[in-house]
Amino acid sequence: MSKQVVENYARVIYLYYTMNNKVVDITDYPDYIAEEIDLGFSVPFIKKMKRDGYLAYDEAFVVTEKGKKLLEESDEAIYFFTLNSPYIKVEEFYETEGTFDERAIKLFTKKLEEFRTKKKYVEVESMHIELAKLDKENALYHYLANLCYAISGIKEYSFIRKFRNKKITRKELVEKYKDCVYVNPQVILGIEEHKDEFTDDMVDLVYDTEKLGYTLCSRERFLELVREIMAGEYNNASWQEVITDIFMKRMKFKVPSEKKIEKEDLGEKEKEESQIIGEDETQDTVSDAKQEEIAENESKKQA
Amino acid sequence: MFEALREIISDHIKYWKQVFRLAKSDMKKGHTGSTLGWAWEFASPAVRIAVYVFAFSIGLRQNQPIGEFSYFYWLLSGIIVWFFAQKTYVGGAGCIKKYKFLVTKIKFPVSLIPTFTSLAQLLVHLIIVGIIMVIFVIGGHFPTVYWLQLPVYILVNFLFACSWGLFAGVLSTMSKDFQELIRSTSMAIFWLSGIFFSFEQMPMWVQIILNLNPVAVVVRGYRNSLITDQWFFNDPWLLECLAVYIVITLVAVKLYKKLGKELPDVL
Amino acid sequence: MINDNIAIQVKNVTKVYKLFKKDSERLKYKMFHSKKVKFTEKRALDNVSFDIHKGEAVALLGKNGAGKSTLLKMITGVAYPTFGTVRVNGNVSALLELTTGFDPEITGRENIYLKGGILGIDDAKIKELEPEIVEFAELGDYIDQPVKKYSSGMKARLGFAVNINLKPDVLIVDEALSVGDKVFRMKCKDKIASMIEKGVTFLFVTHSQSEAILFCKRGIVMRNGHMVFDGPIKEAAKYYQNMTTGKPAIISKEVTSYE
Repeated sequence: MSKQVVENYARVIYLYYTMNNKVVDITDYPDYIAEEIDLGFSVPFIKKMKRDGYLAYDEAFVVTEKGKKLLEESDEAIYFFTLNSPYIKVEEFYETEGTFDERAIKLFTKKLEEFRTKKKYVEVESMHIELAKLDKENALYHYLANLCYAISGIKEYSFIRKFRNKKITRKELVEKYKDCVYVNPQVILGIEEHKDEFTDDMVDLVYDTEKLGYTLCSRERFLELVREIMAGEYNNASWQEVITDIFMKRMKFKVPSEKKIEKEDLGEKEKEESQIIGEDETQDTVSDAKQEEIAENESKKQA
Repeated sequence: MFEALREIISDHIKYWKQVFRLAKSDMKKGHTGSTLGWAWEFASPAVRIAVYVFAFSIGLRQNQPIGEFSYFYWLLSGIIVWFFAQKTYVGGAGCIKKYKFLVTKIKFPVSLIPTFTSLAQLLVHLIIVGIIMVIFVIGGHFPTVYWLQLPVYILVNFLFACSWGLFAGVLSTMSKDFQELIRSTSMAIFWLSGIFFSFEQMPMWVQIILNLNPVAVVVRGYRNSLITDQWFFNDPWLLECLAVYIVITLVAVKLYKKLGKELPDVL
Repeated sequence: MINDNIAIQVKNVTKVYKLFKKDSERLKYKMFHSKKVKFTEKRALDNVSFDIHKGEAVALLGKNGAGKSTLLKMITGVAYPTFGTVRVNGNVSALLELTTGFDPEITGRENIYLKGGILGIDDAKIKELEPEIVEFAELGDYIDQPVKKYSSGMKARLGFAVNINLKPDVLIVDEALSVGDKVFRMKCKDKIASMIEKGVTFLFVTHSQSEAILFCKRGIVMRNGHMVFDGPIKEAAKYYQNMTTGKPAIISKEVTSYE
C-alpha cells in the first residue's frame, strides 16, 4: 500500500472511531487500527491529525467540522474497514467499480476462483461464506458449496499423497480422516434459513460448478446431508463416522468389524483420485505447541 | 525502524513509574530468605575486590603505583564497572525469560524488561560508586573536577546495558545456543576489558579489537575520571564505542520488531 | 464494526505454531527464512470467525487443547494470530493467571499499585479503586503484610480482587472461579453477574456447564481449533456434552432413492 493511501485510510478510520466511541486518552485508541493498516506508531499520527485540524480535544477527542467533512466523503474506506476481510486489499477495493456490495462480491468471486485454482480449500470455504453474506440471491448456493468442500475430505488429500510416498504411516493418515469433517455453524444456520429455496437439482449445480477433484461424499449422500440439516437434525459426529468409513473402504483399509458400513459407497470413484490435488499443506493437530516440540525432540534424541 | 524506536521510547515514558517499581522489586529478588538480604549485592563485590587486591598486589607483587595512586585504587575504579556490567551482560540475556509472565500472561511492552532490570543494577551500582568515592577520600585522594564526568560514563554504561539487554534478551529467548554463548564469553570479556591491565602498550590492531568492547571504554572512562584525569573527549576510542553502541541499539530494535510477536509463543 | 456495538471481532483467525527441531533452527527461519529448515506445524486455531457484541455474555467450551486459551490470549493481546484479525474495542481485564505479578517482599496494598500499574492503570485511578479492591479481597490486616506471608489462596483472592475491580469493558475469566472458599466464590459470581448487568462484555472459559448456563446466554464450542457450535447456551452445553460423552453415532444411513 502506498503511504498516501495508508494515511488517508487511517485518518478516516480514526475519525470514524472517534465519532462512535469515547476516547479520553490518546492511548485509548485500539491497537488494531494501526496494526491492520500497517501504519507504524499511531501516537504521532493522531497528534498530527489534531494539528491538521481533523480532531480536537475537549475532555475527550472530538471530530472537527473538517473531520466530519472528510468522513462524509469516505464511505468507501468505512465500508471496507467494516468488511474486515484479510483477503482483500484496500487499493483493490478502491479500483473496482460498482456499488460497495457489488465490488465486494466481484473481489471475493475473483479470490474464490484464484483459491480454487491454487487448491487452497480453507480459503475457498471462507470465500463462499463471505459471498453468501453479500449475495443474498445466491446465498444458499454458497452455503451448499461450502458444505460440499467441508464434507469431502479434500483438505486432507495431501496426506494421502504423503502416505503413498511413504512419508507418513497409515495410522497417521487414518487419524487425519477420523477428524476431517468440520462444518461452520454459520453454514448450518444459513442452509436452515434458506431451506425454502432448496431444490434437489442444486446438488448437481454445486458439484458441477465446484468440480471437486476428490470427494468422499457422493451426490446422493450429499442430498441426504442437506435434508438432515434442513430438518434441524445435523449430527457432526455421525457424519464424521460415515465419512471415515467411506474413506477406509475407498483406501481398502480394514474396517473394524463392528463398524462395518452397510451401504455402498456410491461416491465419485477412483478416477477422481488420480487428479492432482493440493500442494503440501501440513495440518497437524496436536496439543500444546512448546510441550509438543520438547516431547518430539526428546523422542528423537532417544531414537 | 526509527518509528519502532520512537514507540519503545514512548512505552518507557508511559510506564516509567512501573519501570521504577519493577526495578525496586527486581533488586530485592533473589535475596529473599537470606539474612543479609540484598546487602549481599554489596557484600559479595567487596569480598571479590579484597581477593583480587590480595592476589595481584601482594601475591603476584604487581603493586606498581600508577601516578600517585597505588594499584589498589587503579583496580578498584575499573572493577566496579564490571560488577554492573556482568550482571547486565549475562543477566541481561536472561531478563526476558526471568519475567516470562510479563510476556505471556499480561499485555506489557517487552522492551521495558531489560530497562528495569538494568535500572535495578544501576541503583546498586550507584551506591557502590558512592562507597568507592568515600574510600578514595579516606585514602587521601580528594575529588577533582574530572569526577564530574563520572555521571556521563555511568549513564553510558546504563544505556548500553538497556540496549544490550533488549538485543541479548530477545535472542536468548529465541535461541538457547545464544544464551550459552553469552555465558561462555562472559569470562573472556571480563579479562579483556582492561580492568586488570591497560592496553596502551599493546600493538594498535589489538587495541582496536579490544576497544570494540564498550565495557573497556567505560572502564577507561571511570579511570579517567577518578585517576588519570582525562576528559572524555580526549579518549581516542570514544567514537568506536559510540558506533558499537548505535549498532547494537539499532539491531536490538530491529530484532524486537521482527521477533517480538514470536516471544509469547516461545516462552 | 466500530459503531455497531461489537466488542470483539475475530475474523478468519488461524494460529499455526511451527515446531522446530532446535531453537537455532527457529532463529534461522525467522530471521532469514531459510528454506532448508524443516518444521512441523501445529494448528491451534483454524479459520475461526465470530462477533461478540457489547454486553454479551459468552461461554467458550471445549476440551483442553481445543484452542480456547489461544483464542483468549489473542483477545487479551498477549499472542498474535498467524493469519486473520482480532479486533477488541475497550479495555480487557483477563483473569488468566491470578497469582503472578506480585512482589513477595512488599505488602498486598503496595502490590495493588504494582499490578495495577503493570496492567496500565494510572495511580490516581488505582487510588479510587483501592478501597473496593481491599474490601473484596477480604484479607483483613494481611493487606498490609508482605505477600510472601500469604497462602496461595490469599494470593489468588488478591489477584482476583485486583483484576475484577478494574472496571473493564471486557472481562475474560479462564476457569478462575475455583478460587477461594464457597463464600468467596459466591461473591465473585455476584460481582460478575452485576458487571454483566452493567453492560460489561463477558467471555467465560469453563468446563462447568452449570456455571456457563448461570452467566452466559450464548455458547461457542471449540474442537481441535475449529469452531463447531455457536448458539444459545443450553444448546451449546448440550452439544458439548454430546461431544465429550461420545453419543453413539448413527451409522447406517439409508441412501434415498433418487432419480
